[in-house]
Amino acid sequence: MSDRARMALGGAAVAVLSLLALASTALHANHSETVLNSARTVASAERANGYYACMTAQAHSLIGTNDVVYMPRPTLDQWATVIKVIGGWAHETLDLHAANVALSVQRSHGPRTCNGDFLVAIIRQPGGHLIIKRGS
Amino acid sequence: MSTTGAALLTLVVLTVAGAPPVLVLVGPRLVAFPLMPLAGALLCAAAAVCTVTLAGSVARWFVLFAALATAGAALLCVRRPERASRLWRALRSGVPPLTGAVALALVAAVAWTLRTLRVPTVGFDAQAIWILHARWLSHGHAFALAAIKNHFLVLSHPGYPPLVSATMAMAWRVSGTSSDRVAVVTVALLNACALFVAGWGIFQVVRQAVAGAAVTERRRRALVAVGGGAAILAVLVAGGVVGTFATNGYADPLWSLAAVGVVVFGLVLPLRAANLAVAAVLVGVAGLTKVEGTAAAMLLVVVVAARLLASGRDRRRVLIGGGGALAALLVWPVLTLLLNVPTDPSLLGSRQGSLISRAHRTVSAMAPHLHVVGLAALCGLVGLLALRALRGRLGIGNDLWAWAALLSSFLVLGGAYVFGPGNVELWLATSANRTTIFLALLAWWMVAVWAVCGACGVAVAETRDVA
Repeated sequence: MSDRARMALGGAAVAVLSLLALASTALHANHSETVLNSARTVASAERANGYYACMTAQAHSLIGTNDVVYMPRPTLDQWATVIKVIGGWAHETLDLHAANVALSVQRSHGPRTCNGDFLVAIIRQPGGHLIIKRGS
Repeated sequence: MSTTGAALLTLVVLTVAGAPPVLVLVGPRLVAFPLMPLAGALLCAAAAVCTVTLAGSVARWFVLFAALATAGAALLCVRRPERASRLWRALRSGVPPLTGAVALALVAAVAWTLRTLRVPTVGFDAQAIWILHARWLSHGHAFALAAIKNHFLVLSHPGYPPLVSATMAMAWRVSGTSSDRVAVVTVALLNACALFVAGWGIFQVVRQAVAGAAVTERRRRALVAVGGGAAILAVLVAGGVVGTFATNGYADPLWSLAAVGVVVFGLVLPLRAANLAVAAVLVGVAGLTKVEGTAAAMLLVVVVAARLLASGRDRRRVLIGGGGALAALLVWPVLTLLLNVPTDPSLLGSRQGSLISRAHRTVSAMAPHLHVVGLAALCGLVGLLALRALRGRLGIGNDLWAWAALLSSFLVLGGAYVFGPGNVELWLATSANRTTIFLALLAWWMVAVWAVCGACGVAVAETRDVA
C-alpha cells in the first residue's frame, strides 16, 4: 500500500471513528444534562438552599460577632453542617474553656425547625451564668 | 442586583483587569477574550495570597495587582512598539467571517452546557470549602488568617488554593450581593471561559493544519468545518463529562479544563510565544484552583519544558522559565506549611490496606470514568501508523506529548490514592468521579485532535502537492 493510500485510509478511519464517538457521546451528554435539569432536581436544590438559609438564620439568632463557639461531641454530619452555617462569619474553637457558646444541632418533628433540624446554644454570660437558647 | 447581573459584572471586572497583560502577551486573537477573565481570576488569587499572609483586603490587592499588570503591559508596548502596532492593526482588521462563525457556534455550544444553571444547586464542597473560604477572605486579613489556622474548620480543607474563593469574594465585593448563588454562577462563568479556550484550541489545530497543507480551497473550507465541528462536539462532550459540577460551584471543572487547555496550547499547537502565553495563564489557573490542579499543573510545566528542550530551544531560558513556573506554583503550598495551616483530615491516619489492594481499588474506581482513554489509544495507534509524518509536517505536536501528560497525571492522581493515608474506599467513593475529569477530558481532546488530523490526511492524500 502506498504512503498516500495509507494516509487516506488511516485518516478516514481515524476521522470517522473520532467524529462518530464525539457525536454519539455529545448526544448522550445532552440527554444527561436534560435529566440534571428536571423539576425534581430543581425542587431538591431549593429544599437544600432553604435548609441552610433557615439554619443560618437560627445561628444568627444565637451567636453574636464577639462570641466564640464550641461544639460538644458533634457527629461528622453535624460538624460539617455547623461549619457551613457559621464557619464564614463566627469565631469557633475546639477548646471548651476558650468558648462562651456551646452549639449543637438537634432533631425534632415539631415546628420552628429546618427540615427537622434546629440549633441549641448554651451561652455563658459574663458573670458565669449559663442560659440555654433555641434558634429561631 | 440580580444573580446573573452580579456574575456578569464580576466577569467584566475580571476581564478589564486581565485584558492588558493578555492582549500584550497573547496578542489580539479571539482566544484572548475568554482568557482575560481567567487572567483576572489569577490576579484575584494573588490578591488572596497577600490578604491572608500580609494584610489588607482582596479588593485592594486586586486593584494594586491589576494596576501593576497594566503598567507592565504598557511598559512592554513602549519597549517593543512593534507589538503595540501589531495589536492595533489586528484590532482594526477584525475577524475573518468563517472564524467568527465558528467562534459564535462555539460560544453557543458552551452556553448550552450551562443549561444546568437553571437548577439553583450549591454543591456540598462549594458550600463547605469554596464559599466558606470566600467568606473568610471577604472579612479581610485578620479574620482570614485566623480562620485558615483554626483547627475547628479543618473539615473545610483550609489549605486549598485560593483562586475560586478569591473570585467569589471579589464577586460579592463588586456586586454588593453576597449570596451563595452569585458565587456559584461566577465560577460557572469562569468554567465556561476555560471550556471555550480549550475548545478553541481544537479549532486552532485545524487552522494550523490548513495553513501547513497544500489543499484546494474547497477542501480547506471542508477541513475548517470538520475542525469547527470537532471543537463543538468536544465542548458538548465536556458538558456531559463535567455534568452538574460545571454549575454547582465545585472547583474541579475549572482546573481540569484549564489543564486541558495547557495540553492543547503547550503540547499540541506549535511552540509559538502566543500559544505558550495562553498555556502559561492556564497553568496558573489550574495550579491555583485545587490541590490536584497544582500537581497536574506542575507536571504539565515539566512536559512542556521537555518539549521545548526537545525542539532545540535555549536550554537556559527553558530551565529558568520552567523553574520559575514551578516555584510560582509552590508559593501557596509552602505558605500553608509556614502558616501551620491544619492538614486535611483525609490526609491523617495510617494507610489502610496493602498497596496492591489499594492500587486495584483505585484502578477499579477510576476505570469507569476513563473508557475514552482506550479510544484515544486506538486513534493514536492508527494515527501513528498512517498519519505520524503528516502530523509533524503540519506543525502539530506529537501525540506522545499529550500521552506523557495524561499518563503522568494518572500516575500522580492515582498514586495519591495508592500511597496516601486512610481508608481508600471512602476516599475514592467521594472523589474519583471528579479527579478523573481532567484525564477523561484530555482523552476526548486527543480524540478530537485526531479527528482533525485524520480529515487532513484524507484531504492531503487526495491532493497532489503536499506542503
